[in-house]
Amino acid sequence: MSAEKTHNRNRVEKSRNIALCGILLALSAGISAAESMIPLPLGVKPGFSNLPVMYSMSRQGGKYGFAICLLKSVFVLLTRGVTAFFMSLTGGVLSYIVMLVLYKKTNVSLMLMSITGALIHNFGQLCAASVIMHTAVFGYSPVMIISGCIAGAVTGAVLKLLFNAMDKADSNQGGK
Amino acid sequence: MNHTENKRLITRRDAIIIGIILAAGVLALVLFGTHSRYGSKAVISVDGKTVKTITLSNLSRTYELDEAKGAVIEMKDGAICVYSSDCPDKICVNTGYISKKGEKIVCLPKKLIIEIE
Repeated sequence: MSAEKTHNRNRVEKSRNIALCGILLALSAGISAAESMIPLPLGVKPGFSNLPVMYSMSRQGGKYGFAICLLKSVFVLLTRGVTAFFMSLTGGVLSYIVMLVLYKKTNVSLMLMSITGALIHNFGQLCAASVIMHTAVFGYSPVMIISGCIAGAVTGAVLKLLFNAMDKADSNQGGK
Repeated sequence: MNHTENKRLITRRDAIIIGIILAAGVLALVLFGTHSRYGSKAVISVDGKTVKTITLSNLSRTYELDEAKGAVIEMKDGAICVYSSDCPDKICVNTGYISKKGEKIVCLPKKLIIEIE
């Protein structure tokens, strides 16, 4: 009887996670589409579409965040073509793996996790671009380091604010 | 690991590390980045192969290359830009005019690079 109850609760929990995962994916794709309209040189982006991914990773678990990360690239494939898909996938997956390891294995702050993720993301994209162009384009590295650091810090700050606000909301409800 | 323990937006350690990364980036930019001197020619390459070298001058001219169809390259006042392109992201067009040594315009979908030398 109680085993069945636990089983049911697990199923409800899983359904809730999958539904939330879908909402976060939609949010991420929406932010990504909005960001692609900002005409910054070199395709520099603030990277806020990574917020739902990081949220999912820390609150739902590694596999949910990874699913959002992959499906976000599929959205890019549908809307912006194969080249953009390849860039998105390389940067996204590389930075996701690094952030997951940092989050699970160390107690590094969200800020530093976000910055590392942004830098790895840019590095992955430079590698992908070099493969696509058949020429090394690492001349962009300095710009990518600076922009990645700033974008990562801003995203990290927003993430921290979000988490603080959500923890407060949770504790007001009597701890979920 | 407890990530919610510290409520502060940014810790001293974070700030120091951000500072170091930014300093490294700026240093790299100064050492390897674009020079302040103006270049004399623009080298256009597609898919890693040089297809055209344009000597920069004050003439106004536009170029369309068979190797990179859909992109219109414009030279004006000793600078060069991708004036228009049918690629989806328009990063090349948004880069604008370049004229200094080491500056680059890259269009990933077309595998096009314009570099000033």
